[in-house]
Amino acid sequence: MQLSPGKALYSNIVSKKKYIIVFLIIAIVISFIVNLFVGSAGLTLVETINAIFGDSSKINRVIVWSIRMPVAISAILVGAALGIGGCEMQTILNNPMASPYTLGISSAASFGAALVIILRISISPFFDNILISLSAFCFSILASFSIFTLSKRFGWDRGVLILFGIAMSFLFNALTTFLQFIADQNDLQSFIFWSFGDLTKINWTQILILFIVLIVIYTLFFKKSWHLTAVTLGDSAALSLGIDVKKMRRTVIIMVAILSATSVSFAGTIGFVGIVAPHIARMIGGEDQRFLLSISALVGALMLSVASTFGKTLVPGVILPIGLVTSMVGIPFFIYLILQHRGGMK
Amino acid sequence: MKTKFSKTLLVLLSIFLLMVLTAPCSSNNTDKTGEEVVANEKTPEPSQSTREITDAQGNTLTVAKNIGKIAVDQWGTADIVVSVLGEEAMDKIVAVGITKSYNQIKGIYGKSYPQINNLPSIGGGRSSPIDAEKIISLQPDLYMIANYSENSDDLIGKLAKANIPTVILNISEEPSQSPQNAIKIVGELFGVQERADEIAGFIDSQYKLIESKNLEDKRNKPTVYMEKGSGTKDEYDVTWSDQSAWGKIVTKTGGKNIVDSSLGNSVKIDSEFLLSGNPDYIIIAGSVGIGTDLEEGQELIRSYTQRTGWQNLDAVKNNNIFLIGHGQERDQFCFFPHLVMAKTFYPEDFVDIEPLEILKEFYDKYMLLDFEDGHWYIKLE
Repeated sequence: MQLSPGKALYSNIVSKKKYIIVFLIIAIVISFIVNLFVGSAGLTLVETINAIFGDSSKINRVIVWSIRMPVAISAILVGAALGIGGCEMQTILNNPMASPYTLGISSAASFGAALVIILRISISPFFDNILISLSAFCFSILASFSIFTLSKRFGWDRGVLILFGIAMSFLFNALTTFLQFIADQNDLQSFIFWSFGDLTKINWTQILILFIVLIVIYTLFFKKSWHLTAVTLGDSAALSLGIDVKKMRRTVIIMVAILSATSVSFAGTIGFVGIVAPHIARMIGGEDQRFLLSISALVGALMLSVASTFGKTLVPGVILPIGLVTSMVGIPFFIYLILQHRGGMK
Repeated sequence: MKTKFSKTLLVLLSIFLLMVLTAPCSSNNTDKTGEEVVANEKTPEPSQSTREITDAQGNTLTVAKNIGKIAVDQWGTADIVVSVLGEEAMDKIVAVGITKSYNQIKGIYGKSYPQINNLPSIGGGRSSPIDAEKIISLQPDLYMIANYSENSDDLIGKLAKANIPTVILNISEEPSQSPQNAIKIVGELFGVQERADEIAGFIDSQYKLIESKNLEDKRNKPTVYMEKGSGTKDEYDVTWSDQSAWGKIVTKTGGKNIVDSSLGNSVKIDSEFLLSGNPDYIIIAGSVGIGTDLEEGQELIRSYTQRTGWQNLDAVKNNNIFLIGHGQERDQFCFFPHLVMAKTFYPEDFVDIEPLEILKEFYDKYMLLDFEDGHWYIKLE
């Protein structure tokens, strides 16, 4: 049956976007494999393959399964979480500068971590890392819910949300700076490492938690794709299409808060990806949330996966903090994209 | 919608909290390496080729009877191994974590011991975490770190999975005791207790000398201000209270720290506080030691003296301002700043004592680097 020109064009656009998704998935798989094969131990291709399938020395299996694999997987999950968080924050706030951290989540998480590290709050040495993650998570959620409560009064106005987010960031930054001021050198050092963003400390349990949270939230967002696309047309247009914009904004904020807080509490604050991944996704896939959501997640995952590999190879013998690498590698690429699209980012 | 959403939220939060709280239990399971990972496992199972020791943290560790290769977190820790093992240490150390002076010290050792030039990097320092993968690939018999170094359970756990125990040396808790205990543990590890006891004895005798003068009971103690040597003419760096390692040294040597712990143990103080405190002595703890340039040291002291109001301080007017090695408060050379301060504060009690001579004797007897390779104490000229 011959499709009408309109349907043919639509079908063409949709299949193009599907190809983009397939291409990104392939790129992520390749990047994941490269990430597994790169490391300071200098394992050969064969040794790494043998270690992956368990037919190797214990040392090589530990290197691949306990060190490289958690980093390679968490790079993809954290990147996807930041991509999704950034995409939805930019959508509901209709602001290209929004990111998963717009509501002060990273500042609050940093404060939570600093509190445990610098004040040496400890149940037992074995629980220290868990306590840092838990504290970072709790403060992130606290910051988001504070904004949530405050914004209720102003009818979930976009501008008010952003302003409260800025205020919350300044507040927690100030509190963190105070803790840094009273910290001794070693605690300060530990906190600086945490705040750089670090995937090497994520364990399998944390990966599982992040995976579950990511899948659940992605599914919930995906189900609301049409509604979210309508929100990008503006509040009035979305309302005229029967969408409760306030409720939508409230829902998205809470879900992004949970997703970002989970990610930041395990991996520290990794900036840049949350802002840039949705922009790149929009440039290559358009505004349709059915695709924008997935492409943002995939671009975020790819960015962090590639950054993780670069982090191990840029300076031989030294693992650069992932947050630093995402900026170093990502910013020139991002500027190139802006120039290619003649600044056309809305 | 609201109920459904709230339920989802509740479930998510519950999953997170439950999993975070049960994480330690779940790590008892078999992991992907196919090995049984015990939550508090630090070391491999004992066998005929291994033995158990207790480190300064109270951890019972199973280590190889004959330790062939070791990785250390920094040159400061390596120094203890060097003093205990001598030249043999140069063949046993297969990796040293990066610190500010890493390349400088590596270069000096490398001139006499070429194998040191080939040490691979395992990261470390201010911007890079220690690389567990690299350490595992080197397969050392143990990883040795100072208690104040990066010693996350995460790193220790990963090394333990590869049967590499981590020995934590408590070097800094009590400046006048901890280094000797660390030396004895290293002696026990390598089966050279006699040599370790000799070194610890040498250090102990210096403290006995200081204690014999009852400096802590002196009246009219000189007032002292200490500052970390990363400050500038315009910016103060942190100072330490009497509860910190440097503070304890000042107290033990009969000085009176003008900063007490109510201000914090490591703080930048208000310049007015210092100017009104008008200390008799100012001690800058900076980059002094192996490879130090004498003129750079003098320049650093001079830059401090150019701060607003410092020309009016008694310490500056009397040239009682000096630079000493930051880091010595937490290593085996800690007796040296003790001797320097004791002699500086009470010269009449230490007429025949030359701290630099004693340090030289220590270097000549126990270290591989030459005493002449560094400057240890720089006084304003």
